[in-house]
Order: sequence, then structure tokens, then C-alpha cells
Amino acid sequence: MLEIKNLNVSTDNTHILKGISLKVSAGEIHAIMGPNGSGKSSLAFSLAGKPGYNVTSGEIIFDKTNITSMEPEGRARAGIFLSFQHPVEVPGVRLDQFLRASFNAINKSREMDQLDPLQFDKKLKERLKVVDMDPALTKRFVNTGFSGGEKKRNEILQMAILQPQLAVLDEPDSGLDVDALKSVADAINKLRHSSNAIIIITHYQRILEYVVPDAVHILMDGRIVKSGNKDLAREVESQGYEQFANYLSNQSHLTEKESRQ
Amino acid sequence: MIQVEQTNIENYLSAFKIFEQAESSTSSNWMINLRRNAIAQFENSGFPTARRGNEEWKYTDVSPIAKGSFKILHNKSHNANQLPDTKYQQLEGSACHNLVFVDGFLDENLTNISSLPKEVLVCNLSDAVSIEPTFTQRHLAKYADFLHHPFTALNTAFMAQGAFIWVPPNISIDKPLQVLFISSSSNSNLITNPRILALTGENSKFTLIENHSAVNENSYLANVVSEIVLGTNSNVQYYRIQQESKKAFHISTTHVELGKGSRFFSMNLDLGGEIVRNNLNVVTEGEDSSCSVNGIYITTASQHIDNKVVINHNSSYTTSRELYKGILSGKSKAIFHGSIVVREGLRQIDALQIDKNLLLSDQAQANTKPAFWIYSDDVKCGHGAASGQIDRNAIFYLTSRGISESDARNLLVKGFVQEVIESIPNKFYKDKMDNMVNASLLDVLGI
Repeated sequence: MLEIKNLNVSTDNTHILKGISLKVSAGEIHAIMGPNGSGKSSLAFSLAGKPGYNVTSGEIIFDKTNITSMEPEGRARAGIFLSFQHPVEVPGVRLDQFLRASFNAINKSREMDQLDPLQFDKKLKERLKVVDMDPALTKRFVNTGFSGGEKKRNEILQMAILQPQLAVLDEPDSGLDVDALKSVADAINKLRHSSNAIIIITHYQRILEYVVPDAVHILMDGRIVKSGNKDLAREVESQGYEQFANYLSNQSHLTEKESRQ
Repeated sequence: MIQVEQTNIENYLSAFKIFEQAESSTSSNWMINLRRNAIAQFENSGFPTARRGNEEWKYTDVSPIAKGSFKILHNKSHNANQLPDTKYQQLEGSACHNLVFVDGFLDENLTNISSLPKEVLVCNLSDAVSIEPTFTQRHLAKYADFLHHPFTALNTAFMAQGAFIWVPPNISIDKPLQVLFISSSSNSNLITNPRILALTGENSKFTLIENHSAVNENSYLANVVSEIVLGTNSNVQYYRIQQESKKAFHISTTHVELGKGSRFFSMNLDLGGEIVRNNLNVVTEGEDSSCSVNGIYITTASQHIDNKVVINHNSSYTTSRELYKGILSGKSKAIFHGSIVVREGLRQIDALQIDKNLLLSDQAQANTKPAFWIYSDDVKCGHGAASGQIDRNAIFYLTSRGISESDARNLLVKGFVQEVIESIPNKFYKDKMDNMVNASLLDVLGI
């Protein structure tokens, strides 16, 4: 479903992703773990097409289409969803109206039916139950004055409504207490099925106790330094990220040599 | 330059003589004296054009007004049938009680106030002077200060027709009362001096819409003064809709006195005008009174819109809230002066002032000038001001959900002022304001 080939990305003249390659198939959950500043969010933004994240080489193939230079809205319509680590507050735009605008924009691009407010309201109510979110929040402005937990849950609500083929969840666990974490994890599990794929980006292993990944990748200094199964996440938990530093020094040595040539 | 100004002042003085003659048969002595005091004041001060040491008009240069030779219309000249249909539609049919002035003169055909509660007195100001002479004399021009404000002096000198509103104690008016001032003349360069005096008794409640609009895209000067006095525990909602011609000059002063326990809500919508200055002065005369004053301005091309809001906390346990927001495009300019004054020796004053501007072009300019004079200790006072362009992160957030970039921008622009619209306590006006703002954004930005 997704194939990232030797992706190099720069932002503000800084080389932040240094040759990432990754394959994700339908039905899989991949976890990307790494310390702060390793490029986790940059990878998420690059997948969603955030302006300012310039692909200097490599490509992103989604569903057999090269989306490397596609606009964010094009990627969303193609079926990619990014759950933001820091969801943006949009004062003045009511959540239910935003959700319907989004749902209809995507449906329109696929020549599918657009829903009127009543039809959409029905769908929204049903999805709110899946993510266990307070319906009153949908009458408020998007994320404005929401607690950290409410913002995260709102991201998962959007995933539940848009039903993307590929969901990239950027730290869906940060700032959540254990009950909120379980509940968000529970919602993610309800939304996984054999035809979609999920990439969970996280610093800590704890969410992976509830949403069990098929593969775990360690990201350091813009590179995937090690891939493995779910046990790799436990290794990070017990021994930290320093153990992977040697992979990194070897690789940066190589890259430096390459770049000199 | 001084030469030119003197000549123009002379024009107003000679116009005043003709005006006074024409009004002499219907004017009482106190009214004649009041006008003479006012014209003397205006003669003395002239227009506030000084560019140095003129803090009050620092950001707004009124010399185009001072240089203009505006004419006073001494007789009613319009024909209601000439007004285009769209202007009739604004009268809202049965949704409002309507008091309509065209080019400064009451239009009896368009006016419809017959279904007002019988206790309420709504009439032409010139009639109020004879119907309720003592009452009118006691209040007219007692709130809006003409000694220090040349435009108020000019209005006071030439006031004749206007709205007089008295809502007696314990009366609540169900439908809003709309006072509509229409500029219809095909002659350019008219000056009108619209005037409103509204008084409410104890425990009364009503909604006033002050609507300024134009039939033609002419240049003219509307010089407005409104005095609104709230009795004990009364409740007034005040909607001020300024949709003058894009070439018009609009100078207004609204002075509001809050009696004990009264509540005042205002919403000022500025859409038209070339040079616009609105002075809103609110005085909390009685304890436990509160006000929420709000505004939206949507400016484009070379429009210049200046809102000056002064909240005078004169009594303890009073609250004020200010929320103004502007959407600026083209080379337009907007100014917000917000002053909060808290007299000494007061308790539990709560004041908050917010002004925010969304700049949609590099040449648009917003100035926010907050000022606080706090002479008591028991005061909670906050303010916030911000001017900026559309948030790139918000655009990305919306587009990452499949919404096109242009739709995302439009949502954010509308959302920017939605916060102000949401503060409107009544659904009918909320929808009405929403529609007007949307129509204006469509007109100005094509969204």
C-alpha cells in the first residue's frame, strides 16, 4: 500500500530525513519509535505533504501512485490521514461543520455522495460512540479550548469518520493518562481492519502494549537504524535509545564518505 | 490651506443661518440656544484636522472632510418610490418596527411603528420637543459632549429630525426597533446629521438597530450622534450597521449611560464608508451594570475605519467586555483605540478588551491602541491585541483533511469573525449578522 523509497527531506535548509525506506502493506500496523528530534514528526509531515518539507530525493508511492509532490488535500483524498501530535486550534470553525466539510470534500473527489447536515449528524453520532467522545465537543470550535486528551480523541474521531486507507498517528499517546490512553488505543483497535494500514509514531512503548504492531522501526537522526517485531519496542523500553547509537555512527560515517565522493 | 478651511467653516455658518430660519417656527427657545451654543463651539474649534498634538484624531486625518464643501439639505427632496427594492428589503418587513429617515428627513411611507406597545413613545425628535418638552430638554445633548468634540457640535447645531425613543418602566418590546438612515440623493456632497435619543425606564427591555445605508455610491458625510440612557435594571441590545457608500464619510458618536443593574450589549458592523470614525462611549453610572461591546469591520480598497471605544467605569461592581475583530484587504486601514477608565475608590471592577485583525494583503494596515487609566485597586483588567495573516498551520490542518486550500482559507476567514458573531445573545440577530458578514465577504473577497 505504501512504499517509501530512499526519502530525503529538508526543511529550513536542514537535512532532516536521510534516506528512509519503508514498506507498509494493507492490514499492518507499523510503529516508528525514536528519541526527540530524530525526525519522527518530519516523516509524518512529509507523508501528509506539509508545505516546507521539501523532498530532495527519493519518492513516496501510495496505492501504486507516486504522491511525492502531491498537495496535502490530494493525499487526503487518496486516503492518507495524519493524526497530529499537536492538533491545531481553529477558532470560529465549528467541529461538526469542519468534519462534514472534510468528509464531503473527500467524497466529492471520489464522486461519492455528499451528506447533508442531518445525514452527517447521524453518521457523526455513531462515530462518536466508537471513539467514546463527548458529543457536546462537536458544537464547539475545532480544538479550541479542548484538553490535551480531547484533542487526541478528536483526531481519532476524524480517522473514524474519514476511514483512511493509511492512518499516520503522530504520538497519539502523548499527554494522556493511563485511562485515556487505553480508551484511545481501544478506538484505534476498533478502526483497524484487513484493508487499512496504520503507522504509529511514538516515543514510548506503552501504547504498543494496547495496539500491537506487526513491525517496529527505530528512527534516529533521520534514518531507520533498526527494524524488528514488537519485541524491539520492549528493548527500547528497557534499554533506551542509546544502544542504537552505534548503528547511527556507522551509517553517518558511510553517508559522509558518500557525500564526499 | 487655512484659507480653504475658513471658507468651509463660513459655509457651515451661513448654512446655519438658513437652517435656523427654516426651523424657527417649530423650535423652542432652549433648542435655539442649544444649537447656537453648538455652532459657536464648532466655529471656535473647526474640524479636528491638526496633525500634531491631536491625540484624539492621531490616526484619522479628517482634512478630506474639512476640505469638502458639504451641503445641508433644507427641505425634503426625495421620493420614496425612487428607492430601489433592495433598500425596502432591508426594512425587514414585519421583523422590525421601522423608523426611516431618508437624507435626514423622516419618511412616513417607509416608517411603520404602529404595532409598538402603546406605552412606548417613538417619534420624530422634532415632534418630541413639543410632545414631551421637559423630558426632551432634560436629556437631549446632555450625554454626548459637544464642547470638546467638533463633529458632535456640528451635529448638535444642525439637529432637527431624528429618532426619539422612550421605553417606560416594565415594558419589553418584542420586535427590534430599527432606525434606518438612508442616503438617497443623487446630489453628491450632502451632509446629514442623524440623531437618536433613546431612554429606557426601570426593568424595561428593547433592541435598537441603527442602520446606515445608501442608494448611490456617492460621496457624502453622515455625522451621527446617538445618546442611549439605560434606566435601572433595564436591558438594551444595540446593533449598529454601517453600510454607507464606499465613497462616504461616516463619523459617529454613540454615548451610553448605564443605570444601576442595567445590561448593554452592542454589535457594531462596519462594511461601508471611505473614512469612518466611530466613537463609542459607555459610562457605568450605576452599580452592578455591565456591558458587552463588540464589533466587526471588513475593509478593502482604500477604506479607513477607526473605532474608538471608551469604557468609563464610574461605579463599583461593574463589568465591561470588548471584542472587536477586523478583516482587512487591499490598501485598507483599521484603527482600534480602546480606553478603559476606572474612577478612584471603586470596588470589583472587571474589564476585558480584545481587538484582533486578520490581514489579507501586505498593504493592509491595522493599528491597535489600548489605553488604561486605572485609579482603583480592586480591578481586574485585561487586554489582548493581535494582527496577523492566516495561520499556515491551520491551512495545513484543514487541507490535510481533504479540504482545498481556497476552501480552507475561506473557512478560516469566516471563522475569524465567527467568534464575534457567536457572542450575539439572540439567534435572529446572530443569523442576520452572519448573513450580512457573508454577503460582505462575498462582495469584497469573492468568498
